[in-house]
Amino acid sequence: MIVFFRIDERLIHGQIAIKWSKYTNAERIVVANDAAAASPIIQKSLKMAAPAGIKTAIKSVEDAIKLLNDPRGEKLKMLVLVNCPEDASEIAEHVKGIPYINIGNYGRIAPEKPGMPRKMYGANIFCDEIEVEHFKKLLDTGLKCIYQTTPEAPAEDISKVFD
Amino acid sequence: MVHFLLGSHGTLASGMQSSLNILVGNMNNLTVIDAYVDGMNVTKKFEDFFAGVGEGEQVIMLSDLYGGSVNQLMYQYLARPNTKLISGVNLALVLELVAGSGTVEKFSDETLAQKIEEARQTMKIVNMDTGSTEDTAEDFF
Repeated sequence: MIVFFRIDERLIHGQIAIKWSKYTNAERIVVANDAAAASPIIQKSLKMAAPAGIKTAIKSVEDAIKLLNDPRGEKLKMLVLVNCPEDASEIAEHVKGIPYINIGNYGRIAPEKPGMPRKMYGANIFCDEIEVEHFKKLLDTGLKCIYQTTPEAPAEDISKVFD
Repeated sequence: MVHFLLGSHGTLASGMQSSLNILVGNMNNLTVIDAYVDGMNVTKKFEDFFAGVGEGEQVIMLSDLYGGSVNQLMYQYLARPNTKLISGVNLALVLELVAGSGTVEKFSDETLAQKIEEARQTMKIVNMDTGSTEDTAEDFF
């Protein structure tokens, strides 16, 4: 059972380990990211950041979809992390039961594309034009998309963020 | 409610507060004192803080450096009932204490000692782990 689904370019980090995992009572964390799954170093650094006592799987998007569709997961509270809206859309297309999509941090780590500076849309959201379109496409999944960095921070509908 | 007073030489205290704001959001039970960065009297800053705390409420003072002058100033307030002083704090400890204080009325010495030990464990040489990263679905479920 997916209890929380988040787009966060930092994947597992302090806000996840300290706040969201507790707030959602997550028992498992699934990181769906092709680059992380392909790199032992990224995997280890992410596992280091994971809260103690919560089993964490770091998978390619394709393998994460398989894992999330495994019936054994139905009884487990799972927190899912991706680092971009495209991966979120891909998973939403193939996995049922996502309660909503939370958007935390985006656009301060990945290098900008040449000639495409990012604009600020929120204190923790920076996007170029293409990325804005990817976020808008998320709405086509029919899922609610909420920008909220920490549980105490104000929640805002993503359609309003990119208005 | 537990009140935290984080004090430092210079702006480490407000710097840690800035880190906390990013990690867990604004915590209204944390007061910071950056000592010696402006003309304001440091003792006055302490007095103002303690004047705002209810009599029966717990105060946990956090200092940057054991034996430093901020720690010495804080030491004098240990005479107040329900008052604790922890020196040489790191961000992990401040985070754990302040973020975990929401529903806590009072931290026992035992709890504080345990949290200090856990935070201390996070200060270490981080070696690159050369073990396998193979995960099976059986391990996960």
